[in-house]
Amino acid sequence: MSAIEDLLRKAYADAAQTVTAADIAPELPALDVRAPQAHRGPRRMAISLLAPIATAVIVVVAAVAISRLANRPDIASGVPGPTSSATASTNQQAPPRFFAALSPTGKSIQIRSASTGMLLARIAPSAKGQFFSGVAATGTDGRTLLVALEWGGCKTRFYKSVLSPAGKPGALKSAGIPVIDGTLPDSAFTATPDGSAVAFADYFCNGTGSLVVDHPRTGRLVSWATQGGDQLDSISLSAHGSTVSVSGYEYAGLGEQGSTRLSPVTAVLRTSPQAPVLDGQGVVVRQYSRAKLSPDGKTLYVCTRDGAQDRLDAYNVATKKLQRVVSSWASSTGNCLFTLDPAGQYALIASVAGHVSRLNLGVGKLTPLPATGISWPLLLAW
Amino acid sequence: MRDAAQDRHRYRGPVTVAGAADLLGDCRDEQGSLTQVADGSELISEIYRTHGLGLVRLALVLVGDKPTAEDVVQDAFIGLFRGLDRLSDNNNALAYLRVSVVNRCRSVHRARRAAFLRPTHHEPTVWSAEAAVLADEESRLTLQAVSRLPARAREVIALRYYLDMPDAEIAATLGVSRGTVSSTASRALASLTHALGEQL
Repeated sequence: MSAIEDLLRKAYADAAQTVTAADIAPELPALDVRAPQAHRGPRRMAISLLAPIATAVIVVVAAVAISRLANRPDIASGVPGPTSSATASTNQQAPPRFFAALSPTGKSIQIRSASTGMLLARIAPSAKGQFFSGVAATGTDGRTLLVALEWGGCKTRFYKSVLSPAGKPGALKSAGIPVIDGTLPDSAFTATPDGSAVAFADYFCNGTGSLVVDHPRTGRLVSWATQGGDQLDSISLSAHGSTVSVSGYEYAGLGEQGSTRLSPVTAVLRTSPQAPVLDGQGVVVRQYSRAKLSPDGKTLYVCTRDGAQDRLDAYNVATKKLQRVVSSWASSTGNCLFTLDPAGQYALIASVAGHVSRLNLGVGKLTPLPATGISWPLLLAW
Repeated sequence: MRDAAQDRHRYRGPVTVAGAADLLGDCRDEQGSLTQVADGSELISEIYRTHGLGLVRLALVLVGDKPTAEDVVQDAFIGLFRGLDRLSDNNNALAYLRVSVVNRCRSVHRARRAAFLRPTHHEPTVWSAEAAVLADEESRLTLQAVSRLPARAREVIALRYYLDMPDAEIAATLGVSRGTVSSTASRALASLTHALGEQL
């Protein structure tokens, strides 16, 4: 047995001994109240009687809302409804009709309507033991999805799936991006709308990692090495991949070997010419954040928690100054996860007051969509 | 005529003592003296009393703090309670609970990653300097290094070196191949050797 195995056994034993029988509840307190059909009191009875009525009301309201949305080409902010293809074809800036959401477990990618937020389809891994670790939308209509599929604990392969006009996903086909001997942290994957560049943070199983911006068509690849244990996240690209934004965890940092940083940062880096080292370059805001670059790379949208509110700020990348507060909303269930449409006109937010919501970045108007908010998606792609 | 032994494990009401003993799996001998008829909640409470501490410890080495570990284990038991009628003859409750605990710990890590903009409510991990729970500095540094491994590697290492599970059983628990377990463990050990070599 090796020394490291001895260390591990001892360390686990030491950790386990920090919990004793006296530390944990002697009984399971929750079983009785959750038992099926148990303690069916008057309140439970009333709820069970009202539930079908409430469900019927919700269905009717949802049907009316969807009907109205489908017949309105302009929903407060110019996004075409599902049947307004004529409007979409004449409006070059119309956002894609679908967006994708990566489930918290990585076991599926949901395809949803960008007009209603409704779930249209799911993509699932083809084999047991596989799970998705990233999704990005490409193409002017956003219907070509690039997905990262992890399997075996230490391999990641990239595929693409083309959505039908109705949002039905096609078969997964190779995306022509080399296989990675490592894993991708959640939300550390993105692509430019034209598909000319993809960016991701990978974590190799030998303890090293890197931030990569790959231009598959030209073969140009830019990468920065990260320290062992670094976790990079919330990666976004400008329209043609000339700049990339990235956030780093507070206990890791973005840097060269030799030291561990404690300061969380969100930075914007140039890919051409490549910033020489990741550490200390292009820091726009000193916090770990959900962030997205505008297509021109001049503005960094950063979602920040402000008390009981989530707030979307716009930073000038060149001056690193706050330009304006775009909007704020109650953060009761939200996790600040958002994405931008390819033109950078709208943001799509996973959950605002319990609803998928669209934000007009120009005027700051929030529009809740009929669908309920998505609980803890790892990544949105629009 | 239906096999009574099959029906014994399908929860439609009270579970007999024999059924309880089967479901208890590893602790069949310990529970062999049960003489009363147990319903689902009694059965699971008995499993909790027998294996609760061990499962909390397993969750602790995966998530790092005791309150979260307790929540994870309690949720796993509730999941078992709800799915008791689906537990087949070939499975035992302890194996089910271990898989459930590992999966729920994975969800905790994913939620923590996604929740970076919310105030962190979880306790400091036992291997953090802040917690100062682990007296042995070497053990603390070892577990810190483990915490920096990818999720799958952390799980494999914990099951192998905390529970002493054979690779085949780890593979079954994590839903991956035996070869994957071997390669993941091998790479994780190499990574840990490198990381700890600089610190110890």
